[in-house]
Parts: sequence; structure tokens; C-alpha cells
Amino acid sequence: MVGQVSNMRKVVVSEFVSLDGVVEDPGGSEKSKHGGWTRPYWNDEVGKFKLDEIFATGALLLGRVTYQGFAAAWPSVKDEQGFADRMNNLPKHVVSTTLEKFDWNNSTRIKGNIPEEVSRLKQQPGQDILIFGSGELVRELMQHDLIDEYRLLVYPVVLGSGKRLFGDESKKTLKLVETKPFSSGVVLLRYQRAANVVNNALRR
Amino acid sequence: MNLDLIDEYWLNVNPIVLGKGKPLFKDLSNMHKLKLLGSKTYKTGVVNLHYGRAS
Repeated sequence: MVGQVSNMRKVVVSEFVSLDGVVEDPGGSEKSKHGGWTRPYWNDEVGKFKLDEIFATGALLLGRVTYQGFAAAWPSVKDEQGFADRMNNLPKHVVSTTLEKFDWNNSTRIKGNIPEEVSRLKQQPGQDILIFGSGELVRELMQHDLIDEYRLLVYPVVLGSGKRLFGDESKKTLKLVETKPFSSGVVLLRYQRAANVVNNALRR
Repeated sequence: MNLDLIDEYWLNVNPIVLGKGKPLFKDLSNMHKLKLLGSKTYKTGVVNLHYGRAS
């Protein structure tokens, strides 16, 4: 039983979050009011964390807004460490009811019942499934208890406005599994579903 | 905060997502950059984050 549980791929949400819970436009590509708020705090430690994370990932799961932003930016990016190549090569599963074109390399659309399709993805072999951004999708999957882990990089800044990650229906008790402060003032808070093993066992 | 009169913040972050309720940071006229002074993790899953003014 334990072996079976560990064979399930995890769905991991990885976000840049301000101290007041905002996740909108951390890199500045969306040209929003506070866009680019993570940039002053980027350093090698944060870079290494993101690099290790992307190489431990087997697929990306993205909502439409985040997908379109990424698809416009990543294909033309190159870096020595291979982060961009990895982003461009990973399978991308995209949730959208309106988008028709999925041009970014290795993209597939998730149609129909989203919780069912995501559960199916979790059963497939491979490394973890990572969600970046995609607030609406995160909130929907939370309601179906499909998220196994949250990696929140908390930035030492209060933005005062902008889209937040969690919404009205997002009530959830989690289990803290790791805290890691970086020298730039960013803190990684890593949470997993409370009673993960029990939940997985019950589902079988 | 709007008057820039706060020097330090001690935030105990509890491992629960509530979804609704009154947030601490609300109706702010500006963004505020802070400086992480320390962090401490408790066995219960509470994380204490200590911030001061960014100089």
C-alpha cells in the first residue's frame, strides 16, 4: 500500500507570493501596477531552487492566462543552466475553454472534466506535475483536493493590491514540511496536504 | 502603514488557508518593501517571520 501511494505523481503548486498574498505578475511581463516585484530579490540561491525544481518536474499544468504569458516568452529564452530548454521541452497540459491555438512546444489541451483529467495525469508514470501561477486553476483543483504540495516563495514586500492566490472557497488545513530563508529575504514555505497518506489510501 | 509609522512586524503564519476573513494588509496606499530579520519554525507548523524596514 505504501509503495502504491508513493507511485502517484504529486501535483505541486509553486508560486511567488508577496507578504499580503498577491501572486500577480511577479516577473513584470503582464505590465501590471506592481509587475516585476520579485526582481530585486533574485539571487543564486533562488535561482538554484528554481533550477532544481524544474529538473525534478515531469510536466507543467497551466491555466490559460499563465500559459499565454509563458508561450509568448519562453521559446526565445536561452540560459547556460538549461532552465529555459527544460521549460520548452517539458509536456504542458493546458486548461482552457476558449483558447484554440497551443503552439508552444509539447502542449496539450485538457478538455472536459478537469478534476477527472488531472486525476488521470496523476496516475501516469513520471516526475511531479508542476503548476506555476494559474490562480483560477489552483482554486478549482483545491476544491477537489487534487493538490499535494504548495511551494510558496514569500517575498518581503507588501504590495497592497493585485490578484491573490487563494479565494473565498479555498479553506484548507495544510502541513508545513519545510521552511527555508534565503539571504535576499525570500522565505520558502513548503506545505503538503494534511494527512496525505491517509487521503491517498482512502481514495484507492 | 500609510503613515509609515511601523518599524517591525512579527507575523505568525499558521498552516491553514481560510479563504475569507479580514486580512491584515488592506487599503494600503503604497507598496511597502521590508527586510527579513529572522524566521523561526515551530513544531506545530507555525512559522514566525520577523521583518523590519528596508533601509
